[in-house]
Amino acid sequence: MKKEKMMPLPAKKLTERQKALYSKRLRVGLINTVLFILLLGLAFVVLHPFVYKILGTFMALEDWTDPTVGIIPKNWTLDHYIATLTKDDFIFIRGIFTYTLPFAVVVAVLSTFSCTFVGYGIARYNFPGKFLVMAAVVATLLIPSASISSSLYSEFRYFDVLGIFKAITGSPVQINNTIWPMVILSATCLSFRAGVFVFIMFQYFKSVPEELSQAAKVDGAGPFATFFRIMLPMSRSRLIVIFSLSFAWQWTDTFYTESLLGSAPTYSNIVSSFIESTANGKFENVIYANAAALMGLIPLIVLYLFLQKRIISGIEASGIVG
Amino acid sequence: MNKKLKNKLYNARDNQWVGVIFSVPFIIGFLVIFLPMLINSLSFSFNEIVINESGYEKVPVKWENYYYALRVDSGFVRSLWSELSSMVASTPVITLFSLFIAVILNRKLPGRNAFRAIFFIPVILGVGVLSKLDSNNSLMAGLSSAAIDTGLGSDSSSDGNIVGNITAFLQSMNFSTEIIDFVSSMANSITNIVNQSGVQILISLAALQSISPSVYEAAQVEGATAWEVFWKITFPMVLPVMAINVFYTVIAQLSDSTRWLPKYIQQVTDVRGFGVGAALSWIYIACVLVMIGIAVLLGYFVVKLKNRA
Repeated sequence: MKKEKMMPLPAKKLTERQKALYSKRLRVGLINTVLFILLLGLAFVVLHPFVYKILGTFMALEDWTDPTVGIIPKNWTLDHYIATLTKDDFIFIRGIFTYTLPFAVVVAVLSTFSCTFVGYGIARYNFPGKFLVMAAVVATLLIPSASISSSLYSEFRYFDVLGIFKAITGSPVQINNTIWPMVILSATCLSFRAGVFVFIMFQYFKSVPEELSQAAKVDGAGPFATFFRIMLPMSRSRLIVIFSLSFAWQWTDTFYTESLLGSAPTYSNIVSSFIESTANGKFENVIYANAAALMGLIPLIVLYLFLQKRIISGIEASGIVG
Repeated sequence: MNKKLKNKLYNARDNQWVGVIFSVPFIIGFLVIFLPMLINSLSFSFNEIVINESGYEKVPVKWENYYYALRVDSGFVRSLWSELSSMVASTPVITLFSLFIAVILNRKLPGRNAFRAIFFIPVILGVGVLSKLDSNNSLMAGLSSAAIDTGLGSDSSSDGNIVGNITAFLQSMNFSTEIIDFVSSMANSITNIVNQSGVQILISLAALQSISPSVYEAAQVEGATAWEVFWKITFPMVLPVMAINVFYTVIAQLSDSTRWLPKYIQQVTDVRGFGVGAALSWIYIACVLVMIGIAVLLGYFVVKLKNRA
């Protein structure tokens, strides 16, 4: 008799605890569902311009004036792509291969190395004036790019270093519309948002323990051997982040391209010229601009798909957080 | 440890001047390219620039360009004001939004890696010529008749209803018009906010992941609610990273040449020459620097007050 009386008590307790557990699980599940739907909506916000652009470029012109056509084309066509590609003897493809691609590669390689170098220098050494260098890096970031565009142009239109060229040839050299301005800018950490790269590397090298370079020195490595043989291979994931960001930013760049390469058929200049010609009331040019923009993105998308995991984990792990 | 090894370890620090050699690329670039460019642009703003075959000539005009910018050109002050106020308004919104999304992505949700990749897309693809294209597309969609308004632009006009409802709701609650305007403009620019917070989301996410789980366990044992955990643990721990996010947001906005003011300065430069353009830019720079100075001072005082308390 006594036993029977005792039995229900623990059993009841268990169900209550289970109930609490279930209700907690239900609550968490509900919250997660709501958040998931929210994220889906925000992802849609990011992706829908691309969907509209892609579908819009496959629409025949009469679909654009047909009010019954929503976002899905009635008459599918490749005409816009063909027209964009074949315009002016394939200038789009020639431009990508002779200007955009080599420029992006050169800028990305050079700024990766220069920013790593400078970031290492200010992170690992305490030289007098280091604070000034850091302040100067911040200054290059804080000056709005629009405010230096006119002097950027005249700097390279009448290029001269300390009057050397003027002494030799009698006049400053004109190096805009060549690759040299971008080479100079990216080799000196002045390309687009290069200061951010310097700080990414700065924070990363700050987090590397001092014992490592001490051990290298005890083993007889000089400062440069330490840098090239130990630090550089170690920071591979950050280098990938910097490389791909500066590659992508140079690829789609309009600021430097417009002021330094005004007439060259680069990717962004071609798209911009289509955009500007829409003002003349030629509506096809809107579609051509979108088609050209989308086609030029394909290499970037391929790069992003390949490196996506490494870029994201690299930024997450990158010393920015340190 | 023998004396020799000790000595060797003591000497194991490099000469600190080696750091200068590593920083040389930037130092040269700054001194030879960037600083002259700044000085040049500053001197442009006090001159009228006349372009001839052998280069350009400067005709000194003293403060005339600044006078033109502030008193004659009626559009400039207005667009400067709207640019700066939109920057002040959107920076905290973007920072908090990225923290919010990072907190969500830090939960165990299905497909969170895919979401992370999607939110990062605008960082790679949303700068430069593409943002120019987007603004042109929405412009064209606005200008053309309803028939070709198929939403090629990034702002879809169908948002209007929801935002209108929110506005009406806030009006019925007797909120001031400034607050209503702020809320509706932020709701309208959700596309911009999402597109501008890619890097910040990742930075906040990394900060959240660097908080040790044992801290949360301890809080749970002590009986803290989720609300308390967020405000007493998560938020203070990610606060330093929020400062980085604010900084990055400001920089990203400054270097975005598709914004209204840079475009306006470019137009004025094309019409009225480099001199006036440089004056406009320097007024812009001065305002931005003053704003950042105020923000830094505020942050400094907040930290100081907190330390005292």
